[in-house]
Amino acid sequence: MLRILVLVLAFIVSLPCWAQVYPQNVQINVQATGNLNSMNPNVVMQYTEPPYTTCQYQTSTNISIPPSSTNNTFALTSLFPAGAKPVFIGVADVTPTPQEFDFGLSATSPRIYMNPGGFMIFRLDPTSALPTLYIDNPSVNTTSLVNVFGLANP
Amino acid sequence: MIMIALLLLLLFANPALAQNVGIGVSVTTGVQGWYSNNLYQYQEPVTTTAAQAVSQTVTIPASTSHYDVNAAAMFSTLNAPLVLGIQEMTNPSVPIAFGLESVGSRFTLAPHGFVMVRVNTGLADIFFDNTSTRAAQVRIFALSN
Repeated sequence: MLRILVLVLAFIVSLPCWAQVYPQNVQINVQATGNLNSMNPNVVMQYTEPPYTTCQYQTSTNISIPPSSTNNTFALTSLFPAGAKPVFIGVADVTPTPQEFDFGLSATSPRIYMNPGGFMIFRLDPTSALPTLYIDNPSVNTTSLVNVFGLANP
Repeated sequence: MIMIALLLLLLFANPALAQNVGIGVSVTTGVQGWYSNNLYQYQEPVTTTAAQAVSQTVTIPASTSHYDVNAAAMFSTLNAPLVLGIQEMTNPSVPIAFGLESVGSRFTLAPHGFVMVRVNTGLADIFFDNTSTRAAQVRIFALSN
């Protein structure tokens, strides 16, 4: 009886680990529509991931960006085990008081200016070599909290 | 009657008027398992408006590196963008890479993959590499004021 109980407990405890290790079906839905008040809404973006897409690795991590700092680096390759093939990458501002932050692909590259509470998402080819992000926090007083998340396969 | 018709035209047909926008992102894993995980969710506040919703398809010639597309010149009337994005649209698909500088790091989009950014301001130059022997079609889109 005790042996069965231990086996059942081991099974239950191991389930979340399985969810991380084995390929999981993913849903990615993205839409951007303008002119919602008109009779002709203008859908500029509509993306639905095919239902058979699976990912084995999923990750999400928060990084702090000090106020008035530039060129804080984050290597996107650090999200996954070595050799992983990326499927989806996202970066989002999750600061409790939403903050703008800016990013580039080198210390001197032009920046893309993220809206407070905004996001940047990529549906990538598995051959994509993940670059390092260079992040600036223009806020004088507030530390930005940036959530970096991703999906990949071995 | 004519006044009412003109009013309706102004309200519903003039794209320069600020209109409500819908911007949504949902990324969920494990959707067929017991432990589905909502990796990311974004829904634009209902109060957000944009005067313009535009998109334009650009052809990236075959075997081309750092092909410069200036989004500011492409959408010259857009002063305050809310959303900027790129989607690979070639059929059949072509691997297309892009970056923010002529040389340097690149992201490679999946077949019909995309990048979308909820921006605060600014339209950047985008540099495309098309290593394929076929021309690529890339759609650039924006919601803006």
